[in-house]
Formats: sequence, structure tokens, C-alpha cells
Amino acid sequence: MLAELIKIRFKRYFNFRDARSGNKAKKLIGFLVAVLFIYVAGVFMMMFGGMFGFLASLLIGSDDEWLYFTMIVILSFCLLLIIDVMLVYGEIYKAKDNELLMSLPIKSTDIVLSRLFVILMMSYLYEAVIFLPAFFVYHGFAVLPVFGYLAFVLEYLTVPLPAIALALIAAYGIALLNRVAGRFKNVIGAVFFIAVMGFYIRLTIKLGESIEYILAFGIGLIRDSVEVFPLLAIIGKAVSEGNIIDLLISLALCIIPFFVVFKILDRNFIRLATTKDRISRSGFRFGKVKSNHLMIAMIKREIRHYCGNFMVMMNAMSGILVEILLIVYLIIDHDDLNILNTIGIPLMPVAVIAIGSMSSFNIISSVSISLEGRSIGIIKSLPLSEKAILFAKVLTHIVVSAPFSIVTSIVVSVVFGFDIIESLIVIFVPLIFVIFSALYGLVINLSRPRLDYLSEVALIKRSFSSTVTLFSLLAIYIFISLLYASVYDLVDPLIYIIIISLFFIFIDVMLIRFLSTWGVKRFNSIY
Amino acid sequence: MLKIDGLTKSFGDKIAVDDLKLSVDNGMIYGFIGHNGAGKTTTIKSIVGILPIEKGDVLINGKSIIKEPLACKKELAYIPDDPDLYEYLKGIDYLNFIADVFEMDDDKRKKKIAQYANDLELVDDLGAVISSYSHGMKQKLAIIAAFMHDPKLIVMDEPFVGLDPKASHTLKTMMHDFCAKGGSIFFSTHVLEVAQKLCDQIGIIKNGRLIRHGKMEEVIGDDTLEQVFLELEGE
Repeated sequence: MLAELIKIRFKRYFNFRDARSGNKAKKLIGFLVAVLFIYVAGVFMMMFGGMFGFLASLLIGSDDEWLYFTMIVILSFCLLLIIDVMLVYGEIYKAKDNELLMSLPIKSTDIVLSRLFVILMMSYLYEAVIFLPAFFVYHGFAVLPVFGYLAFVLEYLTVPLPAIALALIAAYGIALLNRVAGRFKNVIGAVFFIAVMGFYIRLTIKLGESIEYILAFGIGLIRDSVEVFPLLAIIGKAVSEGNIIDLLISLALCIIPFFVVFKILDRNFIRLATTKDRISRSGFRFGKVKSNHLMIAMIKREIRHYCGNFMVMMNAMSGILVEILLIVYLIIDHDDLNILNTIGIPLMPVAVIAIGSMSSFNIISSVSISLEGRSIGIIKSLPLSEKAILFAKVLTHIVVSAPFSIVTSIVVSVVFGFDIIESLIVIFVPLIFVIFSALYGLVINLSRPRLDYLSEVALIKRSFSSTVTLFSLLAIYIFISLLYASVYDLVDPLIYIIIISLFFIFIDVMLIRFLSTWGVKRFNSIY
Repeated sequence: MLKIDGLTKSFGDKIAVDDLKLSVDNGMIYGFIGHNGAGKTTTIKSIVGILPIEKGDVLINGKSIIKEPLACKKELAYIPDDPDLYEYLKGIDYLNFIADVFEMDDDKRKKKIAQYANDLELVDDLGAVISSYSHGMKQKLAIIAAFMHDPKLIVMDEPFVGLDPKASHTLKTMMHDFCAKGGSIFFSTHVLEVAQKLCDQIGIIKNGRLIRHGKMEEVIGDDTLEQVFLELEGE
């Protein structure tokens, strides 16, 4: 039974099938996701590799060689803790099949174990991003004792356990917070998420110049901590010295907390998994009931759908997230960007394409038909024309995306000192791209809607229409960028942008006509 | 009020509804019964314009759902079998959205929502998100949304499923009041006792074909609806 449960959970992560798309689409999406995963993993490995190279040059050969491995373990633990909190929250506390599984003759221990096993496997994947470069970098400097290799592998296998244990507690805290935060939970979540991402990106940007400071600070901190927590040294010495006693203590440090938390979770799983969010059941008062224009009512409904779920909001509107971070970065610290002024390429078209490409991360319209789900009958039974329904979805995308694009453009124009004409181009041309993204995403979703989804988040992250829309839009912007890079010394930048703008206006008009004809017919045939 | 003229609908090779013809007069309650998979929901979804019609037509107040879908939809309300409403909205926001679509003015929508929410004892829950509602509460919300904009025809698919006895009684009263004012109701149900007591007209569908229909007393004679239904099902 446990094996069956594990199989079902893995299918959730690696099944990219769309109801109407079949094997080809499944393979294509699987391939695209794999490419993206390898790319991101590669970037992180390179980043960590550089960091560990510096660390190794400081520590290997000295008396503090254990510090190299202690820092790797602590770094892995921190990374996994952040990732596992979200995994645990979705897998344990918010899994949609909790009640179904608990109604079947399955031991709750098997349900919990299957979920934790999947989280553990996912953790190993993420952990490899740190442990692999750490291993190869170390080998570039020195060789481990025989037991050191064994200890390295065993620590790799056990470090996720305390991270999961702590994540289980933290995720329970988030679930509790969700219950008391009520309607503000998404706002709190969004602000927290943006702050964390902002801190992370700033750290990444600054890493090049401050890595020495950060590592020196980290080394000093751990040295001081060892006075109070000597176990921190044991974790590193188990690998660097291949000490079997240190290894056993390290393993116990990882396994025991996990085992304790697992036992508590196992005993309380039914109560934890079935506790509902606090709901206001009394005190509703009829305030002023205000009517809206039909199109505004439809757009408000669409926006509430996206904003009703934090993860849906973050995934569908990640372009906005990138724009907010860029705006904050440009306002508080933009000295690093001065380097762009020295490369000799006119920056106005670069700014236009860059801001336009950010909008391609907003995939709001590309899932808007699918998100209607099983309740699509409601909107179809109302006296609303198909055209109005479709263009409400397009307008929602534009209404949500355009203000952030405009503010980003204004900030970019000010920071780079564009003149009035250039500023107007930087503000208005990305809006043509926003409209294009909205129309194009809807066409793709109309061609491959998926109404039978189990999870809205999975629909946005892994459905055919969202994946194809995101990757094809990125490909288009990469093509435009490469084209500009190859012709910028032959064509006036203004002419280039005008040609590109006219081309996209033409495409936008064609897509509007296409949606008004084919789109209406296609929407009618979806049920 | 409602006229179905030769409606045919198929899914691949399977004919779900085959040349269906029936009519519902003004002020009448029409009960539509049949076994699981007989074609009731397909018929209802075709009437309200969710499913495209392949052959035949549906006329609502003399207008064709094929030729004038918006005009038809303005005059009808639909309560689905499984009230998959917009889970991300609060109850009051859902009703407001429906009121916006039907262009109800502020005073009227407030009065109607208060009236029906009071009748169905849902007032206290209107401020909660629909995802927190039970099946019965969603059903009540769908009922309020259907009645509040004063349609001429209400089409209901299994409207009593999930309702508690008191809410069922309230709904029956609402249906009678609605028809007394000239409105018409077309609804499907598996609860034959309810259909027999409530309906003026009845239609029995089997394998996509209407096998018996007419005024209730003409269809059942001295038998019960259950006896007639089981007899026809056995043929």
C-alpha cells in the first residue's frame, strides 16, 4: 500500500498530461520542464561552486578544515528548510486527497510516510545543487579519508531529515496563521514573498563583491557558535577526519529530531489534516450593495479568482513580482547598472524589450479558460456574449499587468536619463507586448483548455497552455533581442522599435479578429 | 414558455438525446424524470445554452436559443445539479455578480437578496467564501441567484439534493409562488414523491427518448408516479 501511495504522489509531480493533448504534448512539456530544471540547477551549482572555491581556499589545509563541511551542511539545511516548508504545507496540511485517503482502509502512518518520502526525494534533488559542487571543489584541493567519503554520503542522505522536521513545525505555524489571518492572508503572504525574493536577489547581485565578507562572517559565526554548540564541529569533522564516532553522533543529530516529529505527526495526522480554516458564520450585515458595469463586474470576478489563492496569484503574476523587485532595486541601488552605459548599445530598445519580456512571465490569460473548471456552465448559462466573456479575460490580463509595466517604464526612463521621446516609447511600446501576451495566452488556452484539473496551482505551473505560452513568449523576446543585437549598428534604434511595434500592433489586431471568430466558436464547443 | 422541438444531441457515437419534443406552459411546473444517464442533464444543459445544439431547437418565450441566445438567457435562470459555484467569491459577491449581469438596480438586488436569504436562512453565511460552504449551502446560494432577478423560466437540475427538510419545504413554496405569478419551472429529479406532489406536467425520458409526457393526472391516472415510472422502465 505504501508503494502505491508513493507512486500516486510522484505522479502528481511528474504527470504533465493534458486532457486533450495526449502523448506528444506530455513529452513536449516534460522536455521543456526538464530543460528549465537543468538550466536553473546549473546556474545554482555554478554559483555555489564559486562560493565553495573561495571557502576551500581559506579553509582546506588549515586546522579548520571541518568548517568547510559544517558550512555546507548548514547551507543545505537552510535551503531545504525554505523549500520544504512549502512542500510540507501542500503535501501534509493542504493535500486535497486527505479526506479521501482517510476514508479508505489505509493506515494513517502509510499516508504520512508516503508524503514524507516524496518530500525527502525532492529534498535530495535540491540538496544535490549544494553537495555536488561542494564535493568536486573539495577534490580540487584535497582528498578525503576513506570514512570521510562514507560520512559525506551519509550526511547527504540525512541532512534533509531535520530540515523536514523543522519544516513540519513551521508549516503547521503557517497553517495556524492562515486560519487567523482570514482575508489578509494573501496580502501578508505576497508581501513576505516579495521581501524574501528581494533579499535573495539583492544578496545574489551583491554576492560577487561581498562573498568574502559573507563567508568570513559565516566562518567567524560558526567558530563562535562551536564554543556553545560543539556538535557543529562534529558534523564537519565526521567528513574531514573520517571519524566514525563523530559520524554516528552526526547521524543521530539528524535522525532523532525527525523521528520525534514524525511520531507526533503520525499520532495527530487526522486532526491536523481535517482542521478547517476559521470561517465567519455570523454577523453578516447588508451594507451598501453597489452595482457595477457588466465588464467591470466580469473583470472583478476574474481578478478575485487569481487573488483568492496565494500560490495561484504568485505563479500567474510572476512578471509583476519581477517588475516590483526591479523597481525597488532601481530606486534604492542602481549603481551596478551603470556598466550598461559602457557597452555601446543604445539602451532604449534594450529597455523596451526587457520590460516587454517581463510581461511574458504574467500568464494570467493563458489559464483563464481552464480556471473556469467545472463551473464553466454558470458563465455560459448567463446572458453574456462569448465575445464579452473572452475579452473580459483579455482585459483582466491587461488591467493587472499594464500598471506595473508603466511604473517600471517610468522608473527605468528616469534612472537611465531617457529624453521625452525615448521615455514615451519605453512606456507605451511594452504595453503593446502586454496586449499581445494577453491575446496570445488566451488563444493558446482556448486551443487546449483543461477543465478537469485537481489543483489550480498545478494547472498554472504545469498545464500545456501555461507552459507553451511562457516558453514561446520567452522565445519571441529572445529572438527580438538577438535580432537587435545583430542589427543595432545598421538600423537606427528608433526605426527598429517602430518596426517591431507596428509588427506587434498588426499581430494584436489579427489576434483580436481571430478571437472574435474562431475564439467564439471554440469557446462554444468547450463544456 | 418553453418549447423543445426535435432536440438531438450526441457525444461521439452515443446519442444522448434523440428527437426530444415537449413544451411547458406559463405558470406550470414541469418535472423531468428518468434513470441515470437517460439524458436529463444533457437536455437541461442544451436548454440553458451550455451545450451546443446539433439538431432541433429550444424556444424560450418564443425566442430560439440558437438564434437569440442572449435574449433567451435574460429570461431564464439555471440551477446546476452540482453547485460548483465560484469558490473564491464570498456568497454576497457571487449574488452581486449575478445581479450585475442581469443589470439589477441597487435597491432591488438588496431587497431580493435579503428576502430569499432570509427565507433560506443563509444571511449569516453570505459574508463567508463559498469554498467554506456545505453542499446544501451552495445549493441555497444557487437558488437565491436564480430567483432574485425575476426570470420567466427557471431550469433546475436535481434542486433538492443536499437541502435540509426545511430548505426543501421553502424551495417548494418558492416554486409555487413563482409559478403563481406566471413563471414556469422545468426541473429534473429522482425523488418521485416530490415530483408527483409538486408538478403540473411530467415527462419521462429513457435512453434519450421521451417515452411519456403530459399533465400529471393524465400520465399517472390512478397509479403513483413511482409505479408508472417503474413500469415504463421495465419495458
